[in-house]
Amino acid sequence: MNELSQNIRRIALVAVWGFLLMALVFGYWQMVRAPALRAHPYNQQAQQRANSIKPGLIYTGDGELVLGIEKDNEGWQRTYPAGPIYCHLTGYNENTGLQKGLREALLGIGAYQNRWGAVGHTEQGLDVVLTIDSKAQRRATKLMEGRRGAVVALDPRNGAILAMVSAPGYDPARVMESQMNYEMFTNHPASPELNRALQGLYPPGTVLQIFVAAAGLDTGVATEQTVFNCSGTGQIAGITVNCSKLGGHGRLTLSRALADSCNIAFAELAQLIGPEQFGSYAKKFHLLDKPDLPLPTGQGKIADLIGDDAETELIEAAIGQGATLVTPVAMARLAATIASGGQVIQPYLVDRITRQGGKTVTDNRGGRLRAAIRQETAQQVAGMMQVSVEEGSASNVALSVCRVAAQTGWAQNPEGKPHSWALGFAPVDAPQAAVAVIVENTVPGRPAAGPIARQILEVLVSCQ
Amino acid sequence: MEIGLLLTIGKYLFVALLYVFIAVVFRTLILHIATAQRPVAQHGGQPAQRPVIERDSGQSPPEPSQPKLEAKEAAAEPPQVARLLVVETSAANLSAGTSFPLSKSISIGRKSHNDLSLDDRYVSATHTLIVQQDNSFILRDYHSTNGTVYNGVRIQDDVALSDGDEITIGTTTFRYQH
Amino acid sequence: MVIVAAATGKPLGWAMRGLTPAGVLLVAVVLMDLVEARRDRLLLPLCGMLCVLSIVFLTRTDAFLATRQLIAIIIGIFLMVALYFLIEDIRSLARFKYLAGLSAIALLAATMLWGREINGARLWLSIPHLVTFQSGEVAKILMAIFLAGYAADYRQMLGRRGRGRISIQTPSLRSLAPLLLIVISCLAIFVGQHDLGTAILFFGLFVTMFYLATGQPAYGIAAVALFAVGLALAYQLFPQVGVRISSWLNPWADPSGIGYQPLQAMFCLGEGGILGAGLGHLSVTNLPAAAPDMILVVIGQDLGLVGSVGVVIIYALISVRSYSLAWQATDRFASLLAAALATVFALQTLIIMGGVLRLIPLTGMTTPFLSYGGTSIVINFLAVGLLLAVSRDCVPQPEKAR
Repeated sequence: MNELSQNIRRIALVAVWGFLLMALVFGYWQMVRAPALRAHPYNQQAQQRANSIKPGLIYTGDGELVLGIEKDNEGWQRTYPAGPIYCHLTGYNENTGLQKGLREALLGIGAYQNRWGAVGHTEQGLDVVLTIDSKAQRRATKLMEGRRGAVVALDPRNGAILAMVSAPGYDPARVMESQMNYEMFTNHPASPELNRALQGLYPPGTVLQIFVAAAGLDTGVATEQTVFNCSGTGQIAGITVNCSKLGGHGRLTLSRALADSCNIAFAELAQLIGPEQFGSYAKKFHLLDKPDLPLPTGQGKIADLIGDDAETELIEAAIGQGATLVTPVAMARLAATIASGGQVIQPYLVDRITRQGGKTVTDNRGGRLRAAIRQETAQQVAGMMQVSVEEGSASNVALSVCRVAAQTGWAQNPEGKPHSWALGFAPVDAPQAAVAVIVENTVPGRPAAGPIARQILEVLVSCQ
Repeated sequence: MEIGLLLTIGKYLFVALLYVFIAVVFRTLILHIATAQRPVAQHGGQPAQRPVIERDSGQSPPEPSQPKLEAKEAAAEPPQVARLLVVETSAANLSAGTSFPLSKSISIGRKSHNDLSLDDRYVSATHTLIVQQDNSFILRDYHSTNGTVYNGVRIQDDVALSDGDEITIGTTTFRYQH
Repeated sequence: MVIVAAATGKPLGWAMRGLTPAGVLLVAVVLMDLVEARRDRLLLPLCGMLCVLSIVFLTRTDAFLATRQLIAIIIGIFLMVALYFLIEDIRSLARFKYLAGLSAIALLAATMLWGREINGARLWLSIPHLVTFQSGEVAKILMAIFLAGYAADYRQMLGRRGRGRISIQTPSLRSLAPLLLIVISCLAIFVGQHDLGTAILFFGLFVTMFYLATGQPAYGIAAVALFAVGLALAYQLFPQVGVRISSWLNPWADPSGIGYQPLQAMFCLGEGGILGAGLGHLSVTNLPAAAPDMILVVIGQDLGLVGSVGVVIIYALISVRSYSLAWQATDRFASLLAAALATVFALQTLIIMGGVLRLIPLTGMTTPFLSYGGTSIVINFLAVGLLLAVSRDCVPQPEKAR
């Protein structure tokens, strides 16, 4: 009987452990997972409740209403007071744009609901204030009118996105007005729904020379004064590289090569850097990363720098062609990295989330990631970009009041006319804004992106 | 709003009552288990020895499993006097190995008026009588709650004791020696 | 004043209804005390508390079912008292062990052959024009009686570690044969009834009793391994048993079909959070089979984590109390019977909770004393009646604890 008693006690202990486990798992679902479950799209009760919540509004950083609401007999409906200006930010229904990306905040559910779960559920959503500057956004939208392409402007000091425009845009209020509108919208050949600023993948062309120059200077394989020889066309690592200038630039320094967008000089520089270092700098610059934004973003690509054809691919990457594809936001980030003395910034779009009435719930201050290059390197590259504006191909970005650093260029488009790029920031000494502009399918020789970049910088920068 | 508030209060009241109830039951249960486990602790971790009642088996009563030390002590006693040897106990005022001479009828129980009082929650106020008849002793249960167990069987009627018989009262087991 | 009355009217009404089983139970206790007060004093209050919760939350889910449940509870309490007095001495129950065992097997076999299938599991047996009941519930008590009686008598045959000479043996055929029989019969239940819950319940009971009788955990572990392999094989061989399992493994794959119930349960638990959404505050119409399968989820939603953990504690207390009766009992059969009943109770609760919480596939078994089901209520009260008889006849009671 002793043994039996002991064994029964052991079994009882097992049962107690079992119940303890159950209590813990209840805790897991009701405490740890509760916020996610309450906001889950399959959760019908939450969905029904969400319909009765008065959703929050979205404002720009300077207070313009981007996404509004009005009540009709079916409940709360969204309004778009600014028409097409912010279309790629707001989206056109609750499953697109920030209405999807910030759903939990706008409804005050999920992570924004208290996890104690008490009587009296959320009745009001939260308001969102974006980092967008309405003047820059409006100017960019106007400048891109009738074109295809994208504009992204960042504050290089913290990564705040000041303007983000994709052209062509659309009027979000009209998309869902009728079935016909919706079908025309989705089948439009220019794909207005696509947010080119974040999702568009473009060959970077000659603007990638900024990156190649920074990598070359930082590794020490070249200096600003290193001399290259451009004969207009050349065989490098088995592929033919053509320079934009027929007949070539002759002998020229690296600094001059950037100002003149000389492909041959940069192909040679890339060879000096080597595929391994080239790839590692692409990582350090977060050139291909998807930024962490509440909107769909595209993933950049770079040529295969490890395989047998690494050398060949490297040359193609260095001149920004071939398999290399980048998003406009990544290029804006590249400009911002040079502007901030080599510090990579993390772009962000939401400045703060507040209760309807004003009290701030979460406050975003942006973040700087690790430095990609040394500060001196960044300053050298900035200097070269300044030369590019003052004496080179990017002269159309120059501002009268401020000193600007910029690079413009072309990217060959295998499917049609080349794209026009411009990257830049200003003022050079204490940058306040960095911008990337791409205009698709422009006529070669007629600058498109440069003047747009200039006018956006003009709005964003104040120089005394 | 008012309804919501009342519902909230109702919910918390409900949960509070639930936990008060749990606390009360928990306390009682711990008390039950603790008293039942006390013998284990006193025997230095050895399993508690409880009498086995063999039913329907016709087998012999459980074999004596007496510790050696007590056997020696018992052997040293004069054999002709009837004695009650404490084999196992968790009564606070008693320890195993003690023995009591039997010279007359005695009463055993929890209260102090008994000839042999056992400080044990499982023992009734007056639990058992051991009655002298001529030269022998008779075991008689005195309407106790938990009964008097004789060689593993709870007795209903009087039983005559003979040498080696085991008597369990509450948590205490005596061996009758004559 | 009127507004307040109207507002509190519903919950107050639930509370009043909820107190009915408590009242009936109190009458039963007084009745039992009139004859003799010497028995366990903890099990009935605990079970009563579960019945109160059951009635409150069933009324809140489906008032009609709550009324039927109330009737079942009253019948259950009545039968429990009757059984308690009918058994003069719990030890005499050992005589009926073979009858109990055979009836249990007959019931299970009949269910496999003629049982009614509901939600992919064949759990119900129907005697035309008379009664429909969950046969597994009845069989589990009969099986507990049989196993306790068998293990109490034939411990030698089961290869018990004897004294001295024959102590540690290599596993003999005689001790392995019953284990193999156990594994096979439980797998048969699983395949025949398409119900993992009942199979695990009986298997767990068998292995526990085998361990208690022999004191050798090694065989039990081997049996668990065998059983797991058998389950995996059965899952491969019989596609019809896989429905609940695939809804368990990946409910998101078919959120409006087989994954619907588990997902809705998760959502309701999430709604409850830590402190609960409030008694009856949110609807549970989205939750399929809330009354029989998911009453724990309803409690979790209304009372939150504090409420569901409270319920878990009550179940743990009932289990521990039952086991403590088992280890305190002075009779081998009574001890084993109490242990078997405690195991059935604890295991069934754990299986249901595990199913609700997605640790194991959801099964069609009931949560003892809590979920809607007449058979379950009556049988669980009868089990408590047996435990009370064990405590009355074989467990020493502290004098002052009254």
